[in-house]
Amino acid sequence: MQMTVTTHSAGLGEMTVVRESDAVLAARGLGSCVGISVYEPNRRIAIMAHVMLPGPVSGAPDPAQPARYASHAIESIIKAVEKHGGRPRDLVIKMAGGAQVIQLHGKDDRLRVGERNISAVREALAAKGLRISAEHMGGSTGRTLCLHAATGQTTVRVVGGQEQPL
Amino acid sequence: MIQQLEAPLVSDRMSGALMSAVAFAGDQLSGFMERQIHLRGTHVERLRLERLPDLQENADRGVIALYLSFSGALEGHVILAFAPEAAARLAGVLLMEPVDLPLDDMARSAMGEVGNITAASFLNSIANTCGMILHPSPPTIVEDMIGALLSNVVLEMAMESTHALLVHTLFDIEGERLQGELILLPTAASCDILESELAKCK
Repeated sequence: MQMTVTTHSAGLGEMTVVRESDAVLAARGLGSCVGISVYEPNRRIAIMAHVMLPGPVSGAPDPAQPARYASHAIESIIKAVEKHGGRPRDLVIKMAGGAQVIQLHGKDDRLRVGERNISAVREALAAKGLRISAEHMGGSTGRTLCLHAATGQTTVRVVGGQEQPL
Repeated sequence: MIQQLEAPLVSDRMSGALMSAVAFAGDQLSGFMERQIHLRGTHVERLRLERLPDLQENADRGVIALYLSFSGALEGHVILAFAPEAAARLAGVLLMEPVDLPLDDMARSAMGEVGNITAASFLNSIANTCGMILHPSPPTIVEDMIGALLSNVVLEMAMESTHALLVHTLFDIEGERLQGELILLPTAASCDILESELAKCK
């Protein structure tokens, strides 16, 4: 009998958290966004965050979008791990995204959101002493990042391709 | 709980103008390709950028899309997206021979022409209705995940606009129905200007 595995997609700016689950967490169609896959093996905590932007221009973050900005996303991840009894130092962190799928007309190169997202996420992780285990970043191709909560395995897929272990 | 963040409804005036612009684009495309082609906008939605369906569950659906931006009296972006099979069919109509996937350079060029005429005519119709001048950029063809393409554009706009106008569009080519999506992403200021200018029209 075939098992049905539940998939939870983290939309733009959203974060999905499960513990001791067989679900698959996904960040689909990542362009300049960065997907962050986080697994804590002791407590089997799995998290997928879908980061949209490097940081806020002004105003408070929207609670419905804890991963909208890079620095808020890392804070939210750590809080979620600790809430479930996990330890941030045990985290296996993998990332994908930050591409420039299309060059927008009339936009200054300094506005490249993908590159800025990559830098912002790396800096936010480093500021918390967290290490990146693997990544599939940059370039000009969209990606889908999946985290299989049952095993902690992370995969990445590009358009027209198959899931590949990350 | 009532979701307070939903976008305002599209006015009948705005919806009518966008539907007419789609139909006009179909007429122009039909003339260019010398085939019976009808474009019909089925409905128009104004959505928060992050609520666009293509940024949700089906964000990793592969598409072949045309992208262009526009400036002038209004500023924003237009994306015309097709499933790869529909894009190949459209390119094949113009080239008058079957086209296989992945598209080769000739087919991509043909698809670019189809998209360019459609999107530019759509913008021209809006401009003419409001007595404005709009300047479309050269088009770019992109083959990728719809969410990746859209988010790239949406994020560049995130500081200046919160809503998109989604025109659900059907393409009928000599009786064969192809589904496409025409997504108009005006800046917030341009959306207000468009609504205001349409209100002045008889």
